[in-house]
Amino acid sequence: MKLTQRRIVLALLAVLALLAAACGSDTADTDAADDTTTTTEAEETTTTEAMEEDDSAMEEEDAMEEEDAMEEEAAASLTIWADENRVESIQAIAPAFTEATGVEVVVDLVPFGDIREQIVTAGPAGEGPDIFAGAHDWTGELAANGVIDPIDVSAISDSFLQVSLNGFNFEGANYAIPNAVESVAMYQNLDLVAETPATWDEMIAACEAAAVENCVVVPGGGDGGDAYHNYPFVSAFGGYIFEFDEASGFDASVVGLDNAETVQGVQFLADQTTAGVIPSTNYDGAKNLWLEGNAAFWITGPWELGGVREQTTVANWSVVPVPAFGDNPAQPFVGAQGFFLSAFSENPLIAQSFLSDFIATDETMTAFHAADPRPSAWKAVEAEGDDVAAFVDAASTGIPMPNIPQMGSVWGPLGDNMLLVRNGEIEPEAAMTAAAEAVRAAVAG
Amino acid sequence: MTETTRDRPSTRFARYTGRAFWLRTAIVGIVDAFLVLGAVQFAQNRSWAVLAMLVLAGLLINWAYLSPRAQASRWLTPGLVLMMIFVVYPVLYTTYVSFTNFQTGNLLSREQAIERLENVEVKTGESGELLDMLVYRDGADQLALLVAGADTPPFMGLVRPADGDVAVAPVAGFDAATFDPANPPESVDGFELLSGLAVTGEAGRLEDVVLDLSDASSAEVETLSSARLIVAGLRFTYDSDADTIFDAQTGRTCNAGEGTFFCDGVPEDEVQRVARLASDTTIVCAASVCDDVPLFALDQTLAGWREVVGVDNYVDLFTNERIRGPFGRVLLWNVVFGFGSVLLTFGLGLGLALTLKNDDMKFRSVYRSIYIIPYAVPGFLSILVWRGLLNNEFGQINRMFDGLGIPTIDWLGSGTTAMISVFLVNTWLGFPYMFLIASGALTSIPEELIEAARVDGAGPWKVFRMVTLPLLLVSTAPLLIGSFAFNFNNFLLIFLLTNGGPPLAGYDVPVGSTDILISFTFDIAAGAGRGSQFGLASAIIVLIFVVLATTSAMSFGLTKKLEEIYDQ
Amino acid sequence: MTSELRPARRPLKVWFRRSGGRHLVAILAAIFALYPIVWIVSSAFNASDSLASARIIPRDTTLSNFTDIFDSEVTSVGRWLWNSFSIAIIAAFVNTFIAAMAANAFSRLEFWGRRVLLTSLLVMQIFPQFLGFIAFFVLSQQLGEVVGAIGFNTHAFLILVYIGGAAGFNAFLLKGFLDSIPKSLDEAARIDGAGPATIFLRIILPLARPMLAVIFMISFIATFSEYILASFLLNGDDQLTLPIGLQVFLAEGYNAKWGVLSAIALLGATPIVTVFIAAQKHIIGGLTSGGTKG
Repeated sequence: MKLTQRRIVLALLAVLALLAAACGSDTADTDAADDTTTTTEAEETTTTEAMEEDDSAMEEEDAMEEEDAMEEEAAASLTIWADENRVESIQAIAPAFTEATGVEVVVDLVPFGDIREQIVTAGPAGEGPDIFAGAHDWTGELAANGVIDPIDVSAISDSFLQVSLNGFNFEGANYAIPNAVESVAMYQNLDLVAETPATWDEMIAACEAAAVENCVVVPGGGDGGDAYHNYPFVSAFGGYIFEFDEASGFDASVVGLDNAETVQGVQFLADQTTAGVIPSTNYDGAKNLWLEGNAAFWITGPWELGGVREQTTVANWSVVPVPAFGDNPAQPFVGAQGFFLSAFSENPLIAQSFLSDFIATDETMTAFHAADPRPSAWKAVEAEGDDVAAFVDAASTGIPMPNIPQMGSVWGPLGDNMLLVRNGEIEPEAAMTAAAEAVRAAVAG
Repeated sequence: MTETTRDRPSTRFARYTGRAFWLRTAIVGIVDAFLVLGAVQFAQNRSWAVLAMLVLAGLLINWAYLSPRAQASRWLTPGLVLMMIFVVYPVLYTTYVSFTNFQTGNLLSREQAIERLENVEVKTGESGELLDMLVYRDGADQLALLVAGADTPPFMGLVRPADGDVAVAPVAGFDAATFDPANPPESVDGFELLSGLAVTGEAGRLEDVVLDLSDASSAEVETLSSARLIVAGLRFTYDSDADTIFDAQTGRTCNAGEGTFFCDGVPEDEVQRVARLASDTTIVCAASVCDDVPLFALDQTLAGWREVVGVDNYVDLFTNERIRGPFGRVLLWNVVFGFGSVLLTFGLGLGLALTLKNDDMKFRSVYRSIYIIPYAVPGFLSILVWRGLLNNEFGQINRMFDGLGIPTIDWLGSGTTAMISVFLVNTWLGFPYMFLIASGALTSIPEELIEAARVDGAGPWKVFRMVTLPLLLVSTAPLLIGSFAFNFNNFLLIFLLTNGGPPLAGYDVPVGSTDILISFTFDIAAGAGRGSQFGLASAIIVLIFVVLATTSAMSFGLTKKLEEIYDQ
Repeated sequence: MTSELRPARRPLKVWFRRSGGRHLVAILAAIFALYPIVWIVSSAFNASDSLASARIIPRDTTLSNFTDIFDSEVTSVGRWLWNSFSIAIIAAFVNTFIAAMAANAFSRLEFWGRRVLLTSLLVMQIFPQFLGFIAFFVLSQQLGEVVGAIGFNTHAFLILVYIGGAAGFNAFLLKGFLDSIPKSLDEAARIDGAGPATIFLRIILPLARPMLAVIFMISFIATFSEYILASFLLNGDDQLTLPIGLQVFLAEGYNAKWGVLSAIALLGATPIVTVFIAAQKHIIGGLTSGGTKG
């Protein structure tokens, strides 16, 4: 027993000794600092003497503090999370910003999908970035979570495509600097079908004439639901997800998925699937069919441009708009990509400056477009090639994808039910009723 | 209560003096010093949970390495401390989250949420003119700002701290009449114009600076080179004594409640319609006036805070029709999947171990090396590869079937085949581990027992059933239970291979044939009305854990009994 | 060796009766085990990148999938591989040692609460660690404020998470093996005057080496492929591990990058397989010698 006590006492002594050493080193540092300003006193100065010194050395110390402050501010830094498509362009302009302002810019590559998940935990905890890349449909949820701050773009709003600014507008405020827009259009295999169809009837007739096995491939069948790619059918005859009003935006209390117009559009999809015009393929299936030259048309977005340009199987191809449904022009979803300002930035002014002075410029926007073929949201950037221009046209006729937080409860039910329709497991009307009910139930909690 | 019966006190005494003792005491002392230093800092940062763990760890370490009676603890302490921090703490934290409203709109701390509200400006529908701004600094390190706009006369003011906020007082020497925007003065009254680089250095001091312009209007610094005329003031004022917030835009005072502020007497048309529909809000409306309206129902960007809400999430779990609907089906498949996976992997692993048991079998080491390969390929990669192989149109399996004239199967496209595919892939992923375990366990079965059974006239099958299998199960049962628990929550496999699909019709939530509880939970938590619901998700996780832990603990007890029987 | 003792006539038939069935089973299992592997290998060397054009013996073989990995300007697969390896090796090493210490206590010492503690270790292990990601996030952030080296976005913190998460189960695995080492060995050493530490280091550990190797492999593989926690706790190109880094590659649909995916899978798996095959005699031999329980 005694031994134990002795040991504990010894351990405590050791603790105290170490603590003393730790504190002692602090004192030593202070002394050393004093030495540089006064020089005459030995280390064993009493407290009062030290205070007197402080008085005499006041001015010098002020000057030093100022230097310290300068150093701290010079060490100010911006952290930016960028996804794989934008990281290089940002890294390329960062040195120019550092040179002009002395602010160090740290650009971290964070996979696109991870940014949204991590920002809501990292931001409030103080581990988040100052600026991060993202998509416009995140806006509502991030704003409702209070993790992003509005960005004033009124001075430069004319430089952006209006549809991109609409995308990032939530409850009347703009939340990002847009850099790209995207919407689906059609990749056409000109070797199979030469003329560009204006309507679905023309397209189906052309496919029949050319005896094409798979006329139009659209993701969202097979084993992978995809409400995004199927949306042109929802909106074909005037259907919608949430009611939209120019003044107040999307109203999540009015769900239009089971109205007659939506059901008509989905019925059209079901009919074409039954008729063999649209095979039930998932994303990869659709892509492979077209890339192998086994499908005439492929509905998807500009993110596939890189791969399509590189492939050699389909020699002659072009990008054309999704044809009209009778008299109704197709209205795919339009999405926007941009940069958000974190609400937890320690240097919001610098971050704003970076966004408005360095991101929203011709050079940077051109660099983004060069690295990623999506149409630029910056009007001054010329679409690089006819194929991109076609996507710009598609984006200008589309309708913005809702950015309200309730949109999160739509993708699952809508994608799943349209998949079931395409696989012939359920009637369109029943499917859309189920989808609408599921969305209403989710919105009501 | 004796820790050890083997060590006699005299020998122990001998070991605890001398160099080893001093060394140990010194090391514990150093560790303590760091722990105390850390504890002080964690206390300052108000990281109470970390502090508590630190204190516990410290006590354990001191006791374990200083008390002569703590024999076993010396060996266990490193593992126990790490487990406490990285296993027990997450469990406790998840339990805590399950009692909070941690979800979209309630992610911030109370302080963060109120601070944000205090910075919200009154909404007027128009934004003020954007003014160009130049920054000046004098020898005394004071800053001055010069702003000018198309409709706003040039103004230069001195930045100085006032009442905690920062205001700007006019600089006397500035002559607005002679100001030329194209050629701004390099210096005024000893203030020198700063370059872009130098302005950035002062960014910290420019935040929230408000300029009181000469014509009674004011402007706020917006970027490092611009300020904006303020059209209206700030919207909310927080009264910390009453714990209420005053809304200048509507003239209402709102009271703090669960997770946000609640306002009374709000006209119905101000409340967002979707908020009135939502079942988780408290809003009461009568005669076109609503009471108990949470701030986010007026404007979704007015974020609330997270706080403890008691058993709300658990109540929700048991009463919410959306979740209850498909719950039974998902649970059933989850149990089948868990048991089936263990059965298939263990069956194949054991079968192969038995096959290779004979010492004189040729190429044994070759086979073993081959069987271990699936285990060595990182799981997330092989799952993706399998998904490709099982692809309906282009997967190699269907191409092979096609080549052999067998009708192809849409492996991941229909419920039954998707379930079979999940089992197939999981068996491939899991059998090598079971093969290893079973090989090890087989060799630990005494050959005499098997020999004895054989002598008694038992055939190979009977020997296996009566001797080998029971003994094997006794030694591997805990691993099998562990494997069941792992597979029960095998999120990565389901997520990457089928993502729960193919979907099932007829439910109010997205749910698929191969969804297990965890993947189903995450779909619900992520696809909730207003975004993610971490609180609800945590409640489900806690429930799963409690059920699994209880059944496992009981199974372990059972194993113990078996062990006793067979040890005799 | 035994075959030499067999009768010389009709050796094939005898051989088949004795072990032909076994070989048949073993070969079928080997085909099952290797089926996806063959595809990985062939796709890694296939010049055509898409899944649809994959074939067992590629029409054009190429190394471009490998050069693509390392030439990419955006991504740094080499760095990710290194990160994954270093994290997994450190975690597995420390894990094995800590598990060995704990197993030693459970196997060699009688103490109050032993059974309860052992059971609770196993029960706690049932909590899927990845679900604690929010807790880990908060923890890393608070730790990081005081000790930057084990804060958010550090490999050290991730390693600690992996060690803490697996310690209990590994200790249990190892305990079973240590039980089979005769206690008479320690007794003899004790009489010779060896302390518990000496017995552990000089007698137990060497005898348990094969099982330690198994624990090391299990920990290494589990850590190497861990995805969810790493994706929450690491950020930035330089810090990522292979699984998260791959997200970047696969962001646009993995199918088009089938060849590159296969090449990476091959790169990631080859070292593990090599190490295992090299050590397999040792490991299995060790498992076998576990049968000395007296």
